[in-house]
Amino acid sequence: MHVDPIEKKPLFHFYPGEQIFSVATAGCNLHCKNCQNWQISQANPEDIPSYKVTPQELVALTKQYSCNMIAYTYTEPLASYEYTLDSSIIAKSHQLKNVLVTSGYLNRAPLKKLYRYLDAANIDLKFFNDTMYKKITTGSLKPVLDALVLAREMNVWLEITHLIIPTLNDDLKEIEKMCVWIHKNLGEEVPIHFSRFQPHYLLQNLPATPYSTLKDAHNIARQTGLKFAYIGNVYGTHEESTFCPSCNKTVIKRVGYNILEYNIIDGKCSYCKTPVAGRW
Amino acid sequence: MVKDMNSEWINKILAAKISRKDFLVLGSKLFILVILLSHIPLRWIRQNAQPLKMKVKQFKEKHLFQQHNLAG
Repeated sequence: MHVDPIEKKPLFHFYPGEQIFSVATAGCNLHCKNCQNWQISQANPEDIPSYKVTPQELVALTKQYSCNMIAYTYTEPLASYEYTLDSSIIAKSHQLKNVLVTSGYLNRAPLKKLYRYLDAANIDLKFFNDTMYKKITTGSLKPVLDALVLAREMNVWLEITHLIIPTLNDDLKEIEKMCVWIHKNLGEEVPIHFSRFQPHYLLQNLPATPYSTLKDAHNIARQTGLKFAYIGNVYGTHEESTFCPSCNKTVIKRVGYNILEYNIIDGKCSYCKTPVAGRW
Repeated sequence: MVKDMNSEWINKILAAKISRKDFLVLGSKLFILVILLSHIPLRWIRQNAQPLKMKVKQFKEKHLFQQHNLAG
């Protein structure tokens, strides 16, 4: 459990600057070779030190730490589906917001049930290629794409994270295909975060993603018509700020997870009054 | 006298007859000079310590952030 800035999830268009009470349970339904939290995600609950926190206690702790949002994050919250669902229901009844940071690898029916209580989700679209999905994560692409579409249909605020791993998914043509799919099926206003890979777990033989690759992916996303593309896990870049899709002025200036400038008033750009997609 | 050190100038100083009064006057002048001179670097440090501290913090943040403060 930890209190994080919402930008760390990453969610850039969902109440920027807010602190979010973040909680993780042990385990995951995928086995990604690049997992950055493998010590807890690839462990059994009985194998790691943990706290026993009931959903009611979780809500009380969130309030105690002056947060009004809970993030189910770090590992895979869908692996502890019942706990996530119960906590979300109770949190909602206490006017707290629920945020899911997930791989989106779940069947439609249980996901639909959970989405009813969610306010926002960041879904990892790890590869845009079923073979690689199977090889690196042991999952598959189709359920994740369905989870993304369902989130939009159910009005859950959605942001996508795509971790770019050198040699595995840094093919710009595939990134372009992915961006076109997002544009067509989810709309132009869904923010996408291209995150830098750092060598972890079973992929320590690969280097960290070069900034130039992330920048190329960012440019492709913008060229395909996605309005909000970001570069993540790189400190102090131009691409971690939000720009107005109309006048192109900086509406939220970020450095790391800190906000330096905030120029959105009532959900609109303070310069040209164009609405900026998000929950503000 | 100091010997075997090829330090002729030390011997000259030791040989010079300086009265107690002259010694105190010279000593206090030197003391004031040292204080005045030391004021310059102190003022420089005071003026620059904060930005330097910030620069170190930013450097650390930039390099550690990328490895240990990953999104998620």
